[in-house]
Amino acid sequence: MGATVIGSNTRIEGKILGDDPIIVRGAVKGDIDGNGMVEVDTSGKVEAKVKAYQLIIKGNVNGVVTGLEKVEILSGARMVGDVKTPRILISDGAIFKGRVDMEISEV
Amino acid sequence: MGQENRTEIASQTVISGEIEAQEDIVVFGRVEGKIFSSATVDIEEGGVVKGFIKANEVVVSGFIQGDIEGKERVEITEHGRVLGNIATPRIVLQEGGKICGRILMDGSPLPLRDDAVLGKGKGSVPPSRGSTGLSSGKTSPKVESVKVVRSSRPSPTISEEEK
Repeated sequence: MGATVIGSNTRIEGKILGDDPIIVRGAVKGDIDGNGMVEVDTSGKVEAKVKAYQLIIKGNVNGVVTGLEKVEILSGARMVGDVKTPRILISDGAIFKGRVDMEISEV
Repeated sequence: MGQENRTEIASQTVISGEIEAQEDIVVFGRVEGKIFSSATVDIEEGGVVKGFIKANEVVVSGFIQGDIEGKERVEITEHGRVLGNIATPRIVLQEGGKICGRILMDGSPLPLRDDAVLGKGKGSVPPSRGSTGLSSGKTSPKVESVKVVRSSRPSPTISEEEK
């Protein structure tokens, strides 16, 4: 199974959905609904609602993101928006503005 | 997979909307909407595009429902299926490839991109369908020949609706 790659000189306006891993090196405006891994590479610019099993952010993301398993905001990333996930990693050098919702059940 | 300078849409991926690229686009999956590229758009076997494609070069090994504008050339390979019109100065149709639609090679823009013409096309489809119903009582070969005209016409209509 191949991966879907949005190249660095590509712009997509609309909705991307699927089971394949999705790697974004270009610009996406709209909706990304992935059941697998979604990676926003360093050159990637995403202005969208993103849902993924595993979300890895190295580039620019503006929007509400959901990682069913985990979200990683790595060094060099610029994330503005809310994150909903059970596991999150924010690396040194990452920029993050927004809320984190980890669904902690009250004891 | 994984070439740096191109966009690849994998087989289990559906994109609906508009794709605009200054690089190659390879479609193994499904795209509903418009694709614009200054380079090559390659619809691989199994790939489906419902909508409009405008690129420097278009290579079809999959299925396209909608119009194609190839600035330099359009190629339909042996597994390619096109349900729509093609405007390009150079065309290759390999043995086994199928086209249902008009081919314009005189440099004129696709008439079906023009809304006025599209509107006319839409209007003229229902009457021809009606006449199909009437003529269907006659010989069956005639009905088949009507079917070809039928399937070549609704393509722009369908792609219009799905936007």
